[in-house]
Amino acid sequence: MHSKPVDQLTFDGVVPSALLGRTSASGLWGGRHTFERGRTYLVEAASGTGKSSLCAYAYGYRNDYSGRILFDGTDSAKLGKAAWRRLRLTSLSLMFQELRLFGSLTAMENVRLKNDLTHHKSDEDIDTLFDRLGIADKRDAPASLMSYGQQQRVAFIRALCQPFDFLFMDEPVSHLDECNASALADILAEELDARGACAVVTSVGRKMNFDFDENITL
Amino acid sequence: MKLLWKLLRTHVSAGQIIGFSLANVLGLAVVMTAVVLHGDVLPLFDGRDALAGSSYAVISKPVDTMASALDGDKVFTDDEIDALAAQPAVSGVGRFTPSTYEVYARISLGNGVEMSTDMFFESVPDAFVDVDSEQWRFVEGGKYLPIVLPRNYLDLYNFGFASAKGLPKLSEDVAGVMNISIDIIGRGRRDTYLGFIAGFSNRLNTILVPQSFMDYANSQYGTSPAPSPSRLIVEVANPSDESLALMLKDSGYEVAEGDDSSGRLAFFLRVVAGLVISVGLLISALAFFIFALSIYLLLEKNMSKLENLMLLGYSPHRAAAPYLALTLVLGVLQTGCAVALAMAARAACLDKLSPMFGDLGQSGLAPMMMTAAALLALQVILYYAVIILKVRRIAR
Repeated sequence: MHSKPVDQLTFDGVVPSALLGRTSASGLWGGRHTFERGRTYLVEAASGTGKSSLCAYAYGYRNDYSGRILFDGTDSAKLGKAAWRRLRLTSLSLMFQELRLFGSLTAMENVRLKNDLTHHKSDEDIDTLFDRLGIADKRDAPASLMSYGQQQRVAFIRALCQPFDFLFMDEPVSHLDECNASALADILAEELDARGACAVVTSVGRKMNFDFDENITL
Repeated sequence: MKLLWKLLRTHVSAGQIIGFSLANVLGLAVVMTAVVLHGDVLPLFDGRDALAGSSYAVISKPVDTMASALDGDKVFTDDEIDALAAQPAVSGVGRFTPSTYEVYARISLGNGVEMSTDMFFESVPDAFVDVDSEQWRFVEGGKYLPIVLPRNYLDLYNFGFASAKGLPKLSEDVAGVMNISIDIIGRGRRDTYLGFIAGFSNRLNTILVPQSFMDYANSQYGTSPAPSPSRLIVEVANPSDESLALMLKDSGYEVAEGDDSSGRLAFFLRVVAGLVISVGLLISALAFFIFALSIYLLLEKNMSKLENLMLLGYSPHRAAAPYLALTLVLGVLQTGCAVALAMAARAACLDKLSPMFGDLGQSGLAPMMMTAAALLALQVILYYAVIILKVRRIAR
């Protein structure tokens, strides 16, 4: 499963089709920006400025932009479906803003659906994560019956159940209280340390209690 | 897989599946029944003929009392035979050689029942007889004598004699291994040969022995010199050539047609079986089409789930595995039911037929199983294509 790690993810002149003609001060849209393995980034912006688009472009399921996205210099436009699938299993992980959990499955089943594919975490590791995030009692509840904050924590666990070089988290703590948000931040720090990976976290307002290496404003 | 099935089984409609399955089982069962009965029954009408090729004719000169009285006029002279062989439409001419000795045959049928009769033999050149050359030969001094009988004789025995006497019916295969004791009598000698039936013919109403035996026996037992042939067997290279028919007519020869009624029956049987199979295939094709549509709608309804699965890193094959497994299981079950139904229908039909025809063969089973396997494979492949093509189109 393990292929060569991706060290740099570069946005080169990328402009979302919806924002064509505007360039932001940060230089991310329209400029050249490189996310590097081992570093952490907080992307702050008002809603509608393309935070989710950033995640979707990097994860490869939307291509409504001009410009290029490079994985260690390789143009992502040249990647086929199989190559994207490999990246999503080994190098890229994304915690969707809309979570994309399966409502008919339980919290645990949602996590297992991913882990069955990667076999990255042991059952004990997963149980520990449920414990630390305070949703151990919700393991066997259908995701559709859980609160949004609880679902966010399930989606977070699922995003950790794979090897990655870049973890994109689209507003991961928008519905979490202070206590759970810092539990999540602690786990994130440990996981990034263990993998030497990069995290790109977006936020409209609520910020995670986390020491980011770089702040980007869209 | 269990998780995937739990996730993706929503919108799977039991009613639709049952309806489609019934239709498909019906269609497949019709096809299977037609194939198996066709295979079982056709050999009755389509026995291999011991005479080579299909295009041949037996020609003779008309027999009337005047000519018979004068004698000699109804045999073919060498000139006439050469003239016939020179015809472009004729690829071979063979003479019938009659026996000039007495033949007496005995067959023991077991239970102390013995049939015996005076007989006669004829022979034609070996090239006209389509029997394994290992069997169709006589070694001088040997005791084994292969013969070819008219198929009528077997029918006469099976449908007349055996029924009346309560004797077992004989298939061609069984008749082939029966021993016939044949006495050849002439010039004060009487020798016994072990005859066996090497084949049957619909087309010749005579009993054939190998030419080598005929020549040997005529020279050893013959009481008169071999007469000129009164009948000729002619192999016709091109049956549609009219010049031959004209020539035969001008010469005043008679042409004996082979008895081909069972050939026509076999053809009719094939046409009927073909029609029934077509109807069955049509039903199955419609059932398949309906289920393919319903699978397609199912995929549409579960589109967002499939898309999310593939964003999680599932391959189209793995994401669609529950649906692929569903179609495979349904296909196997339906084919199994159809085969069972066809076997039941076959048993019912054979119950009706066996009093008339005796034990029918099992020769339909293998074609039916092959048809079942082929149709199953075809369906599974088509469903696979429908599902995978659809799922691949969902996600980038």
